[in-house]
Amino acid sequence: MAPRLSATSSPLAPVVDACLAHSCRSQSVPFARAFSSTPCRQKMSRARQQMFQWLNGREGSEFAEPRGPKYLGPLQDQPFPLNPLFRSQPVLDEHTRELIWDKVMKRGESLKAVSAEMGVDVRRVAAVVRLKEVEKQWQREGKKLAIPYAKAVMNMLPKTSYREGEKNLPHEPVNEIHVHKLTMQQLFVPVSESRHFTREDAAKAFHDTMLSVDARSPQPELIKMEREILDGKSRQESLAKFKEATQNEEDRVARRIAGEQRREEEATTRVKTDRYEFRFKEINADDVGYNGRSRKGTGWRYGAPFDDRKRGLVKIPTSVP
Amino acid sequence: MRKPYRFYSLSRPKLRQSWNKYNLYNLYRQTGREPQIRGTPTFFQQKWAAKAKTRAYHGEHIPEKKWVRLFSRRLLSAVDMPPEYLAAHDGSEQAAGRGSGLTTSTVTAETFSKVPRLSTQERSRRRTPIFGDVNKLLSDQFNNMTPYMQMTFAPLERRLDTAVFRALFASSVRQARQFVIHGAVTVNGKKMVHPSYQLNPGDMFQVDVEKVMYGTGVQKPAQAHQRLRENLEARQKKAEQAYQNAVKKAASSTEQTAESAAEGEAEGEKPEADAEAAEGEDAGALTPEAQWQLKNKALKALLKDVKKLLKNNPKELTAKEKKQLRLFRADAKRFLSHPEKSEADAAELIDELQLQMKSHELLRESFEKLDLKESQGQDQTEAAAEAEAEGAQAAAKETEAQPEVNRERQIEKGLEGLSEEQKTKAKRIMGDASLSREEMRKLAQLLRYDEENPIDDSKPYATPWRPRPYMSAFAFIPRYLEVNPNICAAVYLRHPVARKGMAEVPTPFSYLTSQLTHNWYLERG
Repeated sequence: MAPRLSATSSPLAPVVDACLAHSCRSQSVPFARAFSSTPCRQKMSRARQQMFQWLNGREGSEFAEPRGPKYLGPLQDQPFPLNPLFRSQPVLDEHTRELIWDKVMKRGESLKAVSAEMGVDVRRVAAVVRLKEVEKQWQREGKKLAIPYAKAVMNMLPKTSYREGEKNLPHEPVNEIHVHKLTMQQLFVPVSESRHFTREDAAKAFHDTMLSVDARSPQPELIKMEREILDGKSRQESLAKFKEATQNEEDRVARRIAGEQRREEEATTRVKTDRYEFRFKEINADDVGYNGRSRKGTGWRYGAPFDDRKRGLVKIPTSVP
Repeated sequence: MRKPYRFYSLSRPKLRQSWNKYNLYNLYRQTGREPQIRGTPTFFQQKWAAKAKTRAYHGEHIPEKKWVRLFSRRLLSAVDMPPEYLAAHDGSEQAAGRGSGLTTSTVTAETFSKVPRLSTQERSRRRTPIFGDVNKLLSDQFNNMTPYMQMTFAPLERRLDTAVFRALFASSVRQARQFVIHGAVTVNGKKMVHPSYQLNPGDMFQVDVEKVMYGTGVQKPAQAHQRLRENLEARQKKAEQAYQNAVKKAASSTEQTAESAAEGEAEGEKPEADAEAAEGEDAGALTPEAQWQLKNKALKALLKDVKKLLKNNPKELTAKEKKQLRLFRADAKRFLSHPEKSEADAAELIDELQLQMKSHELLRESFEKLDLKESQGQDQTEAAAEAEAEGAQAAAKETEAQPEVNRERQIEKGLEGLSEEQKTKAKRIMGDASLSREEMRKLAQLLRYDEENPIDDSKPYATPWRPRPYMSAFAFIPRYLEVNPNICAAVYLRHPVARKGMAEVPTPFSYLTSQLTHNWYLERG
């Protein structure tokens, strides 16, 4: 098409000129100048122009490679300008995570004691230890860690740091209670003015089986400790008692798990061949229940329909053991 | 779902779960703000607009039908109950004296809390508010209540792909989803290929480190490190050339030494040297002395640049110095006859280098002894090998003049005649083929620092690894996840909850928008 166009008469002349100029420029032929000396201008919409103006300007360039955490929002820790109700909360720094692992695995302190001391949720303490264990295993195996990534990410996040032997702010509340569905209604309970109406009574008012906050607390030993301190015991003494209590509880759980494993082991007979290990267990055929579908039962009753490949049923696993 | 046309748009902008710079700009100019009510948009229209906005961010890759099935009107929240409060009060103080409308006490659980408050310090100056901003007037109270409405999309945060994105392992949800589908994510150690897997509290998910580095790192340019590769090749060629030359030279010199050995047999002393020469010939057509000289040359060349590098702080190296360090690593590997592609770590490399240097030093001493014995007849002194500069040459001359005295003293004496400047120069040159222990330690540190983040052309991202530009504006880890970035693994601790004044679901929309959205999905007309 292009060669048939006469450059003088065609309305497309400027376009052709520009194209030619562009192609000539790329080959750097000397007579490129004969047609046009102005470079092709890329099309840039106004919005795009404004965007790049901001990105390359003072404000935007600060976000490209900042030192330390930097967020958009008007508040210091607010990542979304429109939502002051979401903040970037600090994470535990490398040193503190190492310390938690050391306390739990090396010094043998109980999870709840570490949680109460450092102001970190019990679940988080357990997770930190679990992740650290994997990290140590990687190091033992000589697997390469993502150190540059970790350094960069930790540099971008706000952090809490725990220094041993110093006064530290807690990382998060250790005794958080879930708001129960039953307690989300407004309730008018007429009681006499002289009645000593406590949390237990309030829970009972919501539902007969509803437990009070004290019973639902993840740290009941800690509450007990504080009570003892208020009753006049010294903090050191009650702290020692608290540590002992949590340690005992943990030991009990460990013993229970060990016992379960032992019982399981006793119930199975292992027969090792050169290729497989057969494990035999005693089962009761009546466990399957009246329709053969009880979860306690073993195997599949002949004739009972299998639902695992039916249309419309979700096959995605709901849990990974 | 298929990625929509104009995913990041400037003319009809939508906020997305992504670290894209278009998205950053859209966030900055408050794209998803709730419009002031002017005219009479119906409640339905407001809800529709809000739902469209929020769904473009929350799970836009999930079909609407599936999200509707996930939606739950039960929104979770939690209250901090400090143990000190629970111990001190049994709750009856809350009930006392309310019947008459009196407030008898100011005791609440909140007053006992020691957890640091959210910051109220403004980083950037806010724009002056518009007069009569109704939305702002409405929003002022939200800080003092539990923002349940912000939890509307909490069920989506349970999905595996969203969790991977929230843990900062991928630069967008779509990328996280791809990682899952491609089998790079494990849950509790088992490969999980369903991005819609609903994480349970306590689940640990782990993403392949290489994938994370690829997803969060700067993209690889097309013609990366060409210069460096050329440099490396040139260096290798040079090293080979030097070796060939040395072999040639040594071949001629061995003939000479063999002759001289034959001559000098009568004098005694010689059989040892002869035997050594023979061994050398067997090994690589080189006498041990020639071999030593070759090694000396190589070591000197090797350590030439490094000495300069070590004077600087390892964390503030310029680009050129970093390149030199990398070249040194390649050279050292060649010198220690490691295969080119081997991944010897810094400690190993340094240990071996140290060993080599030590043996090198020992050899030098033995040669020196030999030289001292021979020096009366021949003046091929040890120093000649090092004598590339005047200082050393001068020292060598001095040595020739006074052959009987101890060598070290000789050098010192020889240096006496020189100016202070020349002295230091000579000393430096003599020490060129070795590093002090301090320098060695520093070099090890330097190499280790470089090794963490090496240049590697085989990687799918730009090396050395750097975070994407504009990543930090999106870098936050919500509290329901505990992340260990070293191994790119995280634990889903619990479901996200709302607390007083804050909700844990990361959403860029205001409370009013979320409220309208929640109302839409309640399906109450």
